[in-house]
Amino acid sequence: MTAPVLELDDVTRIHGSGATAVHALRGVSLTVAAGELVAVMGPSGSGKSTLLNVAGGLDTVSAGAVRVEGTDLASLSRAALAAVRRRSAGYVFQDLNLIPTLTAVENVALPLELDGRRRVRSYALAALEEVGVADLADRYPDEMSGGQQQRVAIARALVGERRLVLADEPTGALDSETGEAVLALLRRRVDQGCAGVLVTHESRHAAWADRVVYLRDGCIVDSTAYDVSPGSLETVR
Amino acid sequence: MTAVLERVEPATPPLPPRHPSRLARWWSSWRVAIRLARRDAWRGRGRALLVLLLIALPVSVVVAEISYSLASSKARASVSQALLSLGTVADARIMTAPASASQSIDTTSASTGSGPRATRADLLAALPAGSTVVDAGGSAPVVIEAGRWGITSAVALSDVRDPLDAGRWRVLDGRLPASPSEVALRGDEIHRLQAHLGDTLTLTTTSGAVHVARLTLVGEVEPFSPWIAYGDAVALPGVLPVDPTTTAYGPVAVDAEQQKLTLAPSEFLVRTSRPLTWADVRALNALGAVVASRSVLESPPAFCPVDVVCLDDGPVPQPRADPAFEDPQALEAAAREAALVAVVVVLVVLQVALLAGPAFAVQLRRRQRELGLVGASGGTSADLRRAVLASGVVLGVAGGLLGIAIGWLGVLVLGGMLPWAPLADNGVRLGVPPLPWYVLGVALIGVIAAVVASLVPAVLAGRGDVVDALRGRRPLPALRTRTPVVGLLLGAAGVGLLLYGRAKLDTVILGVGIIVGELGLVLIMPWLVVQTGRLGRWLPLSSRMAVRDSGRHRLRTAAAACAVAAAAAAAVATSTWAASESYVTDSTDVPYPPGTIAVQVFVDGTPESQAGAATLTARTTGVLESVAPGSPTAVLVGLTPKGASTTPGSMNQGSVGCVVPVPAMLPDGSTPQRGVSAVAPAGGYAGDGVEWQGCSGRSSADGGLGGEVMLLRDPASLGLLLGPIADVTAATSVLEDGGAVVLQPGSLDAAGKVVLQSGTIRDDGTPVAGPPFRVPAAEVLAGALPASVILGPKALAPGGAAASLRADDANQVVVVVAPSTADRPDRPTVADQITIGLAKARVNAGVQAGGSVRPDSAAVQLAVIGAATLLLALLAGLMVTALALADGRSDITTLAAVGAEPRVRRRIAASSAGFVAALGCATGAVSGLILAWLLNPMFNRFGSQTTVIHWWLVAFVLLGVPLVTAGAAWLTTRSRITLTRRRD
Ligand SMILES: Nc1ncnc2c1ncn2[C@@H]1O[C@H](COP(=O)(O)OP(=O)(O)O)[C@@H](O)[C@H]1O
Ligand SMILES: [Mg+2]
Repeated sequence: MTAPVLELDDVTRIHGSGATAVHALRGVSLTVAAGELVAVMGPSGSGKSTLLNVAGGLDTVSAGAVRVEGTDLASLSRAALAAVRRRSAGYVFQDLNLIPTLTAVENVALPLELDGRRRVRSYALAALEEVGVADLADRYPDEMSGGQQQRVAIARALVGERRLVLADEPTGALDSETGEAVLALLRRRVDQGCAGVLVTHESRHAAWADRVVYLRDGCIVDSTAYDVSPGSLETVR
Repeated sequence: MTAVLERVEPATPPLPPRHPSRLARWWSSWRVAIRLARRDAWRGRGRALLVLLLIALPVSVVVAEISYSLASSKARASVSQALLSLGTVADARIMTAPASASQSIDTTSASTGSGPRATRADLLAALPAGSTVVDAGGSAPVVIEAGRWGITSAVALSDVRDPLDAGRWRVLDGRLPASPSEVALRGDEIHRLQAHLGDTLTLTTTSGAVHVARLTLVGEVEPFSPWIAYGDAVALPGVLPVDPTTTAYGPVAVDAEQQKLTLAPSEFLVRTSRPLTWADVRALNALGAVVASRSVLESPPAFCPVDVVCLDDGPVPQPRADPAFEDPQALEAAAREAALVAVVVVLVVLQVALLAGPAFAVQLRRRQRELGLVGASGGTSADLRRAVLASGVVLGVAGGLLGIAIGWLGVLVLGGMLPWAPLADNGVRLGVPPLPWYVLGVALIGVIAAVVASLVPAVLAGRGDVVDALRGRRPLPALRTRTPVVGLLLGAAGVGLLLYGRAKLDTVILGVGIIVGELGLVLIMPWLVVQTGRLGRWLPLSSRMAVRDSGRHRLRTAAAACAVAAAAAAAVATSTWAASESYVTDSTDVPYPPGTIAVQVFVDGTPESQAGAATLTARTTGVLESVAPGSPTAVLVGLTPKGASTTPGSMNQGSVGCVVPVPAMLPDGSTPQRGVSAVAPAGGYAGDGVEWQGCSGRSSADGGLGGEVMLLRDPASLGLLLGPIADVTAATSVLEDGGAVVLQPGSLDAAGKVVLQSGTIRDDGTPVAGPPFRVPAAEVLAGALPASVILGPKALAPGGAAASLRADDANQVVVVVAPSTADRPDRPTVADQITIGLAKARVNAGVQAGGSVRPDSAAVQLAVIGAATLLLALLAGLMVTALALADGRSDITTLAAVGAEPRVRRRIAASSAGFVAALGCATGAVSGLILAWLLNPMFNRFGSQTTVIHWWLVAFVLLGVPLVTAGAAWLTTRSRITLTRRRD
């Protein structure tokens, strides 16, 4: 087994304080290795998005540790966390992932440009090629279908040397056929050596994952290698 | 499935290199930010337009000013006029003056010597052989009469028959005079005379000996240039004698022996065998001739600006100091001017930034998700800040360029392309105005303003939470509102600077004080927004929501309110200033009472004046008696100290003025120019060692004597002068008791006396001021006279309070008459009849009919001020309303969901616009009153201490502007409720 790309170690995240305190995550531990796609499932408000946010350094933990490629995020400044997102972890959200004023290729090149790299266009074009939408390079997001947009978003999440893709319901706004294709793409990119965390509430989608983690009220209630039929999920819960 | 999973390990291309230097990385991150901002602005170009115009406006004004002044100096209207005055054939126009002249190329300036004028023969001798010379001018002042009607005018005497004269006159009807018995007139004059072509006109000279010519009107004509004829009529040379003191380009100084009218022409048109060069012009100058030469005008010598008096090879050398000995005062003045410009620029930038700030705030709201995505893709806080600042840069640059375009196009269109070309320079169209590169510096003002406006949103964007931004939550942490200690301190510092600047009479310090004070207000305003928002409790639902919402978004509310406040403060302060000044001018400058006609007899150096003041006065009363028999008159006579000469032109002249003491010198040793306290000390005056200045605020150079003091020969006629408003009985009895009537407000001392001081000029030219003396006086705020103080004969009598003065006919005489005869439609008005009568009687006089309606300049000013304030308030109010509606959309949707009427949306819009306008107007009005109270006495050009507040305008600012703004928001808001898509 290769070294883990993402490690959550007993992570707790409390929003607010006092009477209004919300425990979004309580003692969550999770390890994702390269080549591994982990699906996170759970009811609304169970802390799935919070888990992704702390994993990419968008949010900070109240207790516990988050390590991305061995670096403990707790010790990093905001600027260093931004650097982690530029170089190690990329996000794919449900929809409106792309910056509307940038073309597909510019969107993909954005993390590289923010990282101060030059001559990024050809590299970003290669990344688009990888996800099969090279022909849309110079289109703006509103000239693309939802599935195409998500492909570009995946290309952006993994452009450069990033090896961690954090996808928060990436198929939520797509019809099921397109959704499957996007997940197939995600799976393929993970198989090429990345680590992936996929938040979804459709158990059908979890079938693409190597492992499924169930969250409820901020706690992992179950973690299973996905080798059961969808029907057996009921028994697990 | 397997096919998909089957993978070919891609050959990962190498990661692109990073920019090698920090600078290059910094530059590239700006490029990213600018690209985002540029595309965003283009996508929202409709929304951006308002901000663009806001930025473009001040830039365009400055650019237009620069472009216009360059264009008009390039157009050189004077050269065009000079060329037009040559007509189409002549090569030059020569005006004779006393010998040895020098001139500018365009003949607008000339200095002449003394000696006999050049004759035609002299000119012919000096011109290249084979030249021809034609009489083309000189003019004579005349009364032109047709039947009962008459006008005073001047007739140009020019040989219009000669082919050389071609192209100088436009003939509108009939023809030009062809014989000495004919005359042509301008259309206006024909109309005023109610004459027709073919009528016989009588022309009587009004200067020198009486010459009468009876001429037939043969044409309605118009010169192509106002420089062609000094007069409204044209006849052939020799018909009447020429007045040598007038030429086509204005009076030329002449000495006494030249003052006789002559039959010699003073102006010639010339046809030369070869073009006249500048050297030829200089040779003619030596004869005393001033020359407009076609060839010199068409290609002026490079060594000489066209409008500067020029010698053989360059302009008259100016006494120019060695740079090492550069006048420190001039340097200081230049530095002060630069500082003042800087102050104005800062104020403009501040105002634009305050107005545009809320727009950047809403733009931030719109770009929230985009910024969140940048953050999620690894953008740092600095990247997010940059993205917002870049909007400022982009909109600033675009607005600046737009401003340049608007300013330049404005000059292009208004200066030459429109048929009536309102900006044309003296009728000469400007052509394509120049656009120097340094206007880019002016555009920089726009960039700075936009960047300043985007500063706070940028800071907020940098602080914002990426997760919140991505969720589309109301995102931005409001800047904490501290108690406004810093703001209050800054405000106090501003007032302090204003007081200090007022004491030092230093406008730069004043400007800095205004800036500091405004910054203080900017810092206080968010707190004020929150505090006044608390009052919202008692308001109806929609207003309460609007006010609370304003409090939640206190930054943009405060920015808009500050912009309104600045406008309101400026409005109140300037209106107070205007009202205070017009309080003075209205009480001193008003026309003579309705129904009167004032004749001011000029006793000066003209030949007519030689007759003497007594004769002139007698002639005047004679004319008045013949035009309006039996009408009451009042005669005012100038005063002079006893012992001073009364001969005009004599060195030993005296004067007398109404004075107030100048208070001690200012701390920096300078003397105040204006705003000096007119309140006299109760303890009386120390005679010598006290500086005085005229009551009217004008300090005259010799002896510090200002406003005039005049004698009213018959105190009983005072009523005729003061008109119906004043308390005439009381004032008359003051005069009869030997006192004075004072028409200059604020000139009495604590004891109710006016202080007069006389002065004489010694034979060696040194002024000697006499001791001040006091005369009991009544202040009258009515009437209008060319005097500040009126005395009666009793004051001058032995033992009178002003016994050291005596009447001086040679100084000034004003006869005011209330004519008993009324104007009749079938003849000239009584005033015109008096004018004609006086001209024929050879009295050099000004005639002014009383009671004529003047446009109330203050009213126009106030209307403009009020409208400008309203406009700015509307702009700020509507902008904030748009923001409030965009931001509060989900609230409104919720309201609709619980059953609120759609109208609620409009009510909320009206309330938030009204709230911003009301808050801004209230704080602005208070600041404006403080400003006016501090500054008005200093800027009052008449030195009056009376501050008149224009309460109507203040009321309009306080009530009208907020109401109209709220109404406008109500009208422009749709009541339809659009459902928002919520995102989480
Ligand atoms: N910024 C926040 N402040 C307060 N509570 C929050 C915040 N973000 C998330 N929460 C709360 O944390 C819990 C977990 O939220 P989230 O991770 O978004 O759940 P999920 O994505 O599973 O629907 C929810 O109860 C949510 O209300
Ligand atoms: Mg979620």
